[in-house]
Amino acid sequence: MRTGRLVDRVGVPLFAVATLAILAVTFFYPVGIVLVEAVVVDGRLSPATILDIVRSEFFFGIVAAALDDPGVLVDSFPDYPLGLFGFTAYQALLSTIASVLLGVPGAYVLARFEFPGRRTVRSLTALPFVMPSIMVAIGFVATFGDNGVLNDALRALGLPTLDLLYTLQIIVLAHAFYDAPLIARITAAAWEGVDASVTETARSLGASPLRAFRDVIVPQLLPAILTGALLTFIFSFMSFAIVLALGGLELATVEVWVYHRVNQLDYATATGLATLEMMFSLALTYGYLRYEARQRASSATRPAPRRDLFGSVTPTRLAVWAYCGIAALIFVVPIASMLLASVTGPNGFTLENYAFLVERQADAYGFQVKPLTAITNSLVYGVGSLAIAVPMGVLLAVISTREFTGRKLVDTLAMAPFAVSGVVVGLGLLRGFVFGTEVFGYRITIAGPIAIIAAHAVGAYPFVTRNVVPALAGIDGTIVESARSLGASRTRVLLDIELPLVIPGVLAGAAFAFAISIGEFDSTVILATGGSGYTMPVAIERFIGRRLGPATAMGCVLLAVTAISFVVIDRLGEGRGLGG
Amino acid sequence: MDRRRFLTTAGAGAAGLLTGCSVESTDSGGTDTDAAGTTTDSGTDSGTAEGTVTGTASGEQPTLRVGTYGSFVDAPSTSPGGWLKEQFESEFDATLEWFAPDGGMNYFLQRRQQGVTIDTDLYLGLTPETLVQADTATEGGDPLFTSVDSGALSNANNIVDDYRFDPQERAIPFGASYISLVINQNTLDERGVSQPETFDDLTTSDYEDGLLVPNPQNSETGLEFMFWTIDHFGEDGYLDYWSDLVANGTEIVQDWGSAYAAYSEGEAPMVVSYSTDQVYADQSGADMAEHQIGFPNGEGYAYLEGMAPFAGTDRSELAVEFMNFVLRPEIQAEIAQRNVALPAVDNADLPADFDDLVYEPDEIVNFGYDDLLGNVDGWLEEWSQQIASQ
Repeated sequence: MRTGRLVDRVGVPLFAVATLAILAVTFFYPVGIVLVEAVVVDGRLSPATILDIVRSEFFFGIVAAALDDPGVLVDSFPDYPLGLFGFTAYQALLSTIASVLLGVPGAYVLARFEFPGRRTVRSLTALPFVMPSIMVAIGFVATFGDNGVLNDALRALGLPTLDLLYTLQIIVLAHAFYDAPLIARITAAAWEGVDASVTETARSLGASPLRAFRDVIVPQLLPAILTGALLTFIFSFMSFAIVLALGGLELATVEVWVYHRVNQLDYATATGLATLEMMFSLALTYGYLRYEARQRASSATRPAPRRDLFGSVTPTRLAVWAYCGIAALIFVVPIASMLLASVTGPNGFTLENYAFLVERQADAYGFQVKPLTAITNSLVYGVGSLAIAVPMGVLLAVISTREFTGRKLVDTLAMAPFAVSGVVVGLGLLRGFVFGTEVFGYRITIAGPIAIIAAHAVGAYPFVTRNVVPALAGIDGTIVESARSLGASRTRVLLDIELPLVIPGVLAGAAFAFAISIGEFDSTVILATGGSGYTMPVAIERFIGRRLGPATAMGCVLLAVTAISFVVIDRLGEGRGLGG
Repeated sequence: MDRRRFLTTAGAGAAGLLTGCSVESTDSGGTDTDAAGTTTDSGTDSGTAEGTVTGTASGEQPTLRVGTYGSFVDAPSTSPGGWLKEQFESEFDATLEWFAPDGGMNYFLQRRQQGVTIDTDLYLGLTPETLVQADTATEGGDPLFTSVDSGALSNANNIVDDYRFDPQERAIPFGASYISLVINQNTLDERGVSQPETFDDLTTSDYEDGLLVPNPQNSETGLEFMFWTIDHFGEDGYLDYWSDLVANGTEIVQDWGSAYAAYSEGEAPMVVSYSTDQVYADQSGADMAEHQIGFPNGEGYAYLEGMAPFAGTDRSELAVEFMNFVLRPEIQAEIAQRNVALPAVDNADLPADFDDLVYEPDEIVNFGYDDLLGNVDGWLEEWSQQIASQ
C-alpha cells in the first residue's frame, strides 16, 4: 500500500511529465518554429499574413467579399462563392456524412451479429488507414473508373454507366473508404457496451423496438459516433494527396495550397493557411469536447446476445445483406483490384512483379530501397510507436476524465497532432530535427529510428485517447469508490479495475495507432533522408513507374503484413482475457 | 575529411537506438555539420548505416557526395546511379556517394535558408526552373552553385546548343527528354478520331475528357507542360486556353505517378508524359498502340537536366573530374539508356533499337533561364488559382 501511494504521488505525475516532454520536443517545438512565420513579418509580430488570407476571395469566398463590402451578401444571394476554405469544409462535411452513413450500420453488424470470421473482419477495419493515397487511387480507378468493375457490371446489365472519377462524389467516397471503418470500429465498441437489460426494461414498459433503439441505444452510441465523425471531419478537412489524385486540382483543398506554397518557398502564406486550418480544427475539437464531457455512458455488465448473420430471410437480414454488398463494393473491391493489378501484366497473369521485389532484395545497391528492410523498419516503428502511443493515449484519457481547471484546454491541445497540417509537421521536423537546432554553440541533429518512432507515436496517440475517454467516463463511479475504500491505491484501481473495463477501446485505439505508424509517409521520408530507415509506403513510392506492377506488389505486401499484424494485436489483447 | 571521420567515431559510439542523433560544435569553422548524420554508401547493409559513414575507412580515398533526385538512383525499371558509381570508382581513386533527399533541390535550398551547411559537393538533375528558384531564393546572398572552367570538360564542345540553359554556365547539361503527349490509339479508334494535331484540337469535342496532366504544383513534367502552353499562347493567352482545356474535361492530377496510373487504367486516351515512353513499353512487351507519341503543332518541350557544383564544396577538383567523366560520349550513351532519356552531347552513340523508340519533335520548345527569371511563381499561382476556382 505504501508503494502504491508512492506510485500515485510520483508515478502518474512523472509519467505525465514524460508525456508532455515527448509532445513538447517532437511536436510543439518543430511545429512552433514553423507556424511562428505566420504571425511574424519582417521580424515583428503581425497579423498581416493571416488577415491577407482572410480577405482573399480565393481563400474565403463570400466571407472575404463581405468583409470588403457587406452589400454582396444581399446582391449575390444565394449564389455565394465558397472559396478554398469553404469548399474544403463543405467536402469534409459531405465526407463525414457519408462515413457515418456507411460506418454506423457496419458497427451494428460487428456488434450485433455473429458470423464466421467476425473477429478477423473487426481486426481488419483499420486496414484502409495504412494504404498510401497512390494505392487507393489505383484501387479506386480500377473499381469506379470508366473501365472499372462497377461500370463493367453496369454495362453487362445494360444500365447507363457512371462518370465518377474526378468528381466530388469520388473524393467523398475515398474519404469514406478511409474513415467509415474508423467510425464503425469506435461505434461497435460502444454498441457492445450497451447493457441488454436497459433495452429489455424499455421493451417491457411497452416501447416499440424502434423506440427502444432511439431512446435507449442511440444516446449511448452518440458519443462514439460523434467522436468518429469529428475525426473524420478533421482528416477530410486536411486531406491532400487523395483529393488531387482522384478529384484533380479543380477540387483543391486548403492543404493542397499549403503544400504548393511551401514548394514555392512562400512560407508566410503556407503557414498562415496552416494556422487557420489548425484554429478551425481545434475550435471544432473544443466544441466537441464540451459535448463529450456531458455524456456519461454506462458500461455493460451483460451485453445483448448476437444474432446469426446467415439464416432465414427476414427484413433485418435482407437490409444487413444489402449493406454488406455495398460495403464489399467500397472496401473490398478496390483492395482486390490492387491485388489483381499486382499479378497482371500486359500479357495476362504474371508473378514478375513479386519476382521484382525478390530481385530488389537480392541485388539492390546499398543506397536503394530493399523490400525486406522496409518491412522490418515498418514493423519496428509500428511496435515502437504502439509502446509509446498506448500509455501516452491512456494517460491523457485518464487526465481528460478527471476534474480540474483547464481540463478541456489540455484535452483540446492533446488533439493538436490531428489538427496541424502534415506539411507543416514535416517542415518542422526537417528544420528542427534534420537540419538541427543550435543550443549553446552546438548543433543537435536528430534523425533515424528514434525520431521516426517518436513522430509516429505523436501522430497516433490521439486515437488511443479518443477511443478510451468515452469508455473510461462510463465506468460506474461506485466501483472505483468501493475499491478505494477497501484500500486500493488510485494507480491500482486504474490498472486492475478501470483499464480492464476499457480494453475494447484501448485495442481499437491501438489498432488505429499502429495503422497510422505503418501508413505514415511525410514525416518518415523526411526523417529517413539519406539513410536506410525507410518504410513500406516509402518503398511503394519509390517503385512507382510506367508499369503499376512493382508498386502494387509492394502495396499488397504492405496490406498482407499489416493485416497479419492487426489480427495478432487483437488476438494478443483477447488472449489476455481482455477482449470483447 | 574531418567531419566524415568524426561522424564515423560518433556513430560507432552512439550505437543502438540513438543512431541518427548527433551533437556537433558549431564553432569549428562552421562548415562541419552533417545533414542528418545519415549517409549511406553501397555495401552497407540495412538498418545499421545511420550515423556512420562507411567506405571511407581507409582514410585516404576522398568521397564525392552527389545530390540528385530519387529515380536517378532508384527507379523500378532502370536507373543510372549504381552503374555510374561503379564506373567512376573503378577509374578514380575516390568514393561516389549518392544523396537523394525527398524534395530534391528544395531540400538543399531549405538548408541554405536555415543557415545550415550543404555538405554535398555537386547536384545532378538541375532544371532551368529549379536553378532560377535557387538563384531567386539566395538573391543578395551567396549563390548556391558555382561554375567550373569549361576548358576542363573535354567534351563540352559537343554539348547540344539547344540544351544549354544557364547563361552563367554553372549548370552543365548532362541529359534531356521531350515532354509530349502519350496517346492510346486504341481508345481514339473506338471514338473514331485520329490523333490530335494541334493544341487547339485538345479543346475540341473529339478529345473531350481526353487528357490527364500531372499537377504543375507538384510535378516538373506538369510545370514544363504549362510553360509550353505559355510559349504557344503567350502570357496573355495561356489562361484562356487552360480554361477551354478544363472545360473540355482535361484533368489536372496529383503528380506524374497518379496521372500515368490513371492513363494505364484507360481513364483517358492521353496523358502528358515523355517521348521516351515506347522504350518502357518495349521492355514490358506492351501494345505499342497504347503508347503513341504526340507532339502538338510539331513541337516538343525540352526537359533539360544539368549538373553543377555547390558553392563552397571542398572537393572542387573531384567534382570537375566527375562532370568531365559524365560528359564522355560512352558514359553519356549509357546514362541516356539507363535513365531512358537523351544524351546532352551530339557524339554519343546510341544503339539503333533505342534510337528507334525515342521520338524527337520537329521543333524544340524551351524556356531558358532569362525567360523564367521572376516569372515562374506568378505564372503558376495565377494558373493554379484559376483552375481551383473553375
